[in-house]
Amino acid sequence: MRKAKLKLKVPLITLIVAIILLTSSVSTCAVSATEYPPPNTWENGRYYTPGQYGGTFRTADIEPCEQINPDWSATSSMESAQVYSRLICFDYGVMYGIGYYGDLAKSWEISPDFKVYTFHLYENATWHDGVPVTSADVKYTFETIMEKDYPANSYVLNRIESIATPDEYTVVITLKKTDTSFMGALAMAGMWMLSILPKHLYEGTDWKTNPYNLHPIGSGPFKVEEFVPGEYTVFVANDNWFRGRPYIDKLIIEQVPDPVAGLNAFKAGKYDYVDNSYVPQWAEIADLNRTEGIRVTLSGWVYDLSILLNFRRKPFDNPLVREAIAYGINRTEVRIKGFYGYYPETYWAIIPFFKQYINPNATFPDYNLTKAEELLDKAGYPIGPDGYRFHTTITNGPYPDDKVLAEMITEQLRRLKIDVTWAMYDSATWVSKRNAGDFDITCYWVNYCPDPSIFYRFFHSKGWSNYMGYYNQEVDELIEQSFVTTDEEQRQEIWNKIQEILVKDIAWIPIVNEMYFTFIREGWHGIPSELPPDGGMGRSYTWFGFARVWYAAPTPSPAPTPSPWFTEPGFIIAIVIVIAVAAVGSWVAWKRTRRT
Amino acid sequence: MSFTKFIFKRILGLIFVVLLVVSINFFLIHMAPGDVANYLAGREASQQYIETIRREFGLDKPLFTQFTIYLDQFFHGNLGYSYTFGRPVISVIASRIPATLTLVGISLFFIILIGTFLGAYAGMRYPSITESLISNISFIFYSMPTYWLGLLLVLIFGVYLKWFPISGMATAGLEGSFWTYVLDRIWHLVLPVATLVLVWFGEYVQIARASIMEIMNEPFITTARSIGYKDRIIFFKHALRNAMLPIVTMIALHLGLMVGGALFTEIIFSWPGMGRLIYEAMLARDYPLLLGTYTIMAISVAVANIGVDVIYSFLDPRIKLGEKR
Repeated sequence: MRKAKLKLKVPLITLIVAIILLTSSVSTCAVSATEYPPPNTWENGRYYTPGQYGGTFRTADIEPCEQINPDWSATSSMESAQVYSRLICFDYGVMYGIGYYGDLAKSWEISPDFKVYTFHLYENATWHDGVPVTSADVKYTFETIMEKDYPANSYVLNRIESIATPDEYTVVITLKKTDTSFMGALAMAGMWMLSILPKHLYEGTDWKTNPYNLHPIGSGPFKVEEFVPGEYTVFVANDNWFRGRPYIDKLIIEQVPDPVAGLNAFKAGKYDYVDNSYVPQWAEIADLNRTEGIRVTLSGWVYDLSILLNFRRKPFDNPLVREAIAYGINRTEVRIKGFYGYYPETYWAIIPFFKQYINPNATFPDYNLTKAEELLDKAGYPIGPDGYRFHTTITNGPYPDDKVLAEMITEQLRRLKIDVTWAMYDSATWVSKRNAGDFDITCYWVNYCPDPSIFYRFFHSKGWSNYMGYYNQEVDELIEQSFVTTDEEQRQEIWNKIQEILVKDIAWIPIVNEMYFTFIREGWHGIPSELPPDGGMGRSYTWFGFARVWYAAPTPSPAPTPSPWFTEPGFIIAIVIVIAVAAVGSWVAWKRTRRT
Repeated sequence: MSFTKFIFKRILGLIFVVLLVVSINFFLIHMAPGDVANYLAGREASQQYIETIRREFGLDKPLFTQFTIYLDQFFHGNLGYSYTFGRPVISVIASRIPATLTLVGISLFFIILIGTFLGAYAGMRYPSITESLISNISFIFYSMPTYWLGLLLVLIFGVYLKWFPISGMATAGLEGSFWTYVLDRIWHLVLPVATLVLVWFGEYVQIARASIMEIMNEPFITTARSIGYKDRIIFFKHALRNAMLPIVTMIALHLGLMVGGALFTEIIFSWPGMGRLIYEAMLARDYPLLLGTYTIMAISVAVANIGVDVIYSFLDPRIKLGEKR
């Protein structure tokens, strides 16, 4: 009886396993046969390597994506970038001299006083449901954001006085006053929160709850085929994209909230591309760099990693203390020990990637411990009876880079005999404390894109990211002056002056320049963070644009000498299991015979 | 006390418990610093937009006013709108429950089966090497952090051997027949279920072992043995049935907690279940969603408890409903 039962079980299990393995292998080979247009080699005034059509590109997104409409909440950036178009945009090329370029806008004219901006739209642009994209859609999107005060309003749109649409394909934007930084800010907002939405589907509805947030109809390179919040989004190429069909047939973005899990899945071959949100440990980068068939790309990124000292609190209201701390920071040590040498040190008021704007005479103090100690003594903070000059706290959000930075700074300030308590919070807590100015020292990232007009945001007394409470009348005036100065050389002179004052005041302390990592499976080209003609810079349409990604099987590298079959992990595990089963079985049998 | 009266009394208690849970949670969650505006506004947030969002969701009102508004909604059977999803909380939760029930339900089935039988077997065989082997191995797995064990399984079976998928509940963009989908789901289930089973089965082993060991010393077992019944009959017919009470309590507790999902496992395997929903809602400070999930969990635990009391009376006729034990 017993034996018969056993015999039945074994084939059933093998059958199930066989079927599972079969289906898994079937699912990987599916190629559709469509008629493709000739490859697009000339775009936005640059030559690109002709790509090959077809294939599926898989990647992962670490941010949760609950709905696909970035305009009312600045979330779902990666997914919306595939579906929607913007008026104008940037991509990683901005760090390499490729400025903003048109997305829906074919061309534009700017009045000499920088007040009136006329955009001409592509006339063949259509929504995914076939309705043409017109100036009315742009006007509707912009005006709704302004009316409802959605994120892009305070970022850029509140400078607008009126929007006119003389014909279906022309948008005329008139500003309240001369503003030389408008185009840059408009392109920047487009990256996160200024996608053009279809008026015919959104008019008269609440953007927060519109059902099209779950079945988005955009005008971008990909259509949404399937969106499962919390799981994945499947996109298919939009054959009628006004800029010419994307190379790949299908794009799959999965939501993977855990960096370790995401990187493991990439290593196992599940994804073709992941970015630096999936680097849990810096040592992993070197490891992946050595791995066959994986390309690691390092490109410039618009943020620095810096610390903000709270001007409203003692002792940081004292310029001598701020200067002392600037002297006390060893950037080389942060770069090498903290970031494995990947992030370059920055001593200027602008990151090294925007060197055309840097004032070389305005540099932050270099590391000098004795100088720092002298300054602290002079400022009235000698070493007290408890062995410390004063007590303070450093805080940061749950971001890997900030965590490393906070740890390093804590260590370096303790060498100055400053007692630093390190506190790390979850994102919501940290952001609310930071916005309320409830911190002593906090890690932060200053964004320098696209040009120093961004100083307004961080260093003007009314700037919305001036968390440290910095105020200098002269800086305020100079920043305002820079907006209305239409001559480029004069503007640069003003920016140089601002940089000098900011460095003198130690308004913040930039430490290293954050870099952007991408991990790419060999054979994929047109990646947004790689240089043309093979990379996608200059035609990616935002940071996450995968419209021009394409695949060509890489030339096979010489086959590695196969390792002997008995060192295969599968074999070793199988042997261990067999031995264990045999041992237990024989032991049980022995025990039985002994009992009888 | 009649059965209906008992049920009625328990349901009254349930309503009281759920209300208490909702109130405590409401104030606890709102005590955490930061709110949903910070999340929605993104990395480039401006203070102005944060204030707009607060106004729009009524977060600028005094906490007690917010509480009365929430209670009013709650009594109308409305758990509110999720801030981040822009959808009713009920529909968001409903979309995540199947994934969680599949994962935790299947795991629980194996946990109970394997745990109880191994535990009971060990209890029967006390003292012996088998017993100490089962007991110790289950202890070793029980003390492993879920997170660590999950990642280890991923590394061995996902990255090196490539036998099983690493993340997600299904292959995105899969084409094929109904059975292809089913098998794809089963294939995705293996690793997360294995993680949960390995970590949790020890709990049942310990309980089953202890209660069987106690039963085995009872006189009626000795009697059965002296009559000459086979071990197998004693085990199934006499020992296991009597040892079921503590195990049933445990099962009911776990069934109640089932809708809460398995947070760590769901995060590691990118499983779109309730655990991950709660985690993400907490980080985004999506208050209505959080309160909604806690309320659903409170209700299911309370209902499971009533279920236990009913089952008790069937398993052990000596226990009567509603009487003090």
